[in-house]
Amino acid sequence: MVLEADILKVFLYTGAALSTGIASLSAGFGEGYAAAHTARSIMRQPNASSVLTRTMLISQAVVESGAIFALVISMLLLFGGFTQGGADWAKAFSLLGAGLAIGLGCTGPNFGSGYSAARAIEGIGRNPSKSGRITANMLIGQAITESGTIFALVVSLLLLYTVPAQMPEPSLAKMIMKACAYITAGIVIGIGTFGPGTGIGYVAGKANISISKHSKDQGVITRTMFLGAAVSESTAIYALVISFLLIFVS
Amino acid sequence: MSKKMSLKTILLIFFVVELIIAFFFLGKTLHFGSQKDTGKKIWLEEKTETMNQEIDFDIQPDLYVKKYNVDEPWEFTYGSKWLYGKFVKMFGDGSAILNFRLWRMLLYLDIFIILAAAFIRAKSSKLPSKIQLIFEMIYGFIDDLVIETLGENRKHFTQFFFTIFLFIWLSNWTALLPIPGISEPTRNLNVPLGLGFMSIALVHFMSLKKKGIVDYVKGFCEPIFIMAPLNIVGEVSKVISISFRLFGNIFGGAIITLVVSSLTHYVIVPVGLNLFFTMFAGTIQAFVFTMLSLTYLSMEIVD
Repeated sequence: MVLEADILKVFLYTGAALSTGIASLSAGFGEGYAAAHTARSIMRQPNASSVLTRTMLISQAVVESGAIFALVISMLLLFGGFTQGGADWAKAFSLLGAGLAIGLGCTGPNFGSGYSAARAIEGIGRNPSKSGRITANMLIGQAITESGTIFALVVSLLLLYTVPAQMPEPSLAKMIMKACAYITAGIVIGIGTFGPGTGIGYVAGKANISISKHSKDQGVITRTMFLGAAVSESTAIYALVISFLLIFVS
Repeated sequence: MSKKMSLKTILLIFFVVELIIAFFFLGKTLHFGSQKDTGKKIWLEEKTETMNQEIDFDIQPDLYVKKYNVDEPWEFTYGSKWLYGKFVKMFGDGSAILNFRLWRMLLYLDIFIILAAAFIRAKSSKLPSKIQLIFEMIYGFIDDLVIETLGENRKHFTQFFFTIFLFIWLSNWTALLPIPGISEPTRNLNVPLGLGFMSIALVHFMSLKKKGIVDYVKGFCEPIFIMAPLNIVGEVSKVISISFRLFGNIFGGAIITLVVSSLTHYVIVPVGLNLFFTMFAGTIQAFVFTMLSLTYLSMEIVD
């Protein structure tokens, strides 16, 4: 049941396009939100424009890392040489699933870390003297927001490289079952990280604004943010466990 | 033996082991399968000339089979079969220990850090030079961060976090050297995973030391004991997220730089890409790794 190279290319190209397309949508939204708040804060505090611009660039680079992961998966799909070995239907669906996983999976985290960045910039606009503390907290918050993206990246890489190109004992029913398992493994991590991503981003954003108001209590604010983020992250971990089960146990 | 001396001895032993592993096999022939028609043996180290090729072969080893027309892509014998056998017996036939490019890069980095430390220590004065100022600034920044997060009485953790930051930062910046065969150690998944395991292991060790064994085990059974497996998965996912973040950023940057610069025929574009992915993202990711491990530690040991 080895596919023709042209049919395999349909899956590769669709996966590559969906991955970068969906990811850029959310990353662009997040970065634009951060930039809008920079403009507002500069209007409020023209003296702090240099530190605001610097924070905007740093935060946008971190928001963009989700889109960069998606771009990498796209490039691996396009130039990774998957057409050479010959692949069956299950492998083809796993390649499509890899694109879907990272594309959908970084949507929520991108929205979330964009929100967190915007709130940090707003906080610096209110209280420029505490910009160091706010930037540090923003980076931690964005980093834990992005763990959903990281899970999606792990699932994508597993789908690309651990799924065998041809099944050992192929039969029609088994092939359909495997193809379903692989593509749903991509979808479950993609959708499962949306809620945790936006939620943790919300927590991190509120923590940033709180630090700008009460910068003395930074320790307890950061720790509470971490605790809340760890609890909201647990659903993303359930999605990760389910997609591992789908890939390896099904 | 005093504490300082024993530490130095351990470091020296590690260094010598690294030296042996990185360079013992290098002078020997590293066979890489035999060619189909002539039966001639060819080896991998001499055949990859450019960085471009190396990344190609990193992501798709099947290229070797096609390009050099060899039988078995991964069957190779080393100069000293006895030593190789010992290694395989000890560590398994994995690629982490037997990856010589990685060992060599780590060695170069170690030599650089040791030389820099010696140089700075010898040259340091009360009227600091520019290099001394930069390093003092980074040290002071991380020192402030540690004191702010962990408290004044746990100041000694600064050295650990400063070392981690410096190591990751310099590793990420190695990509700037335009020498074939030089690549970032952090691009190999083994290095970020090792660093992540180290940080999380430190967190758990300190937590165990502070809470005592009963409270430590109880911490896993929150809110009820049925949740213990999921809590353990959550701890493992910390390692995954902290190390894959670093790996994904550096590996992604390398792949994007490679593909885009070969599409534009290496004109100017690589400079801009390196500026962003290596210098900017590399520094931020090193800082994020340090901050995250610091915060995980403070979650466990600060009341």
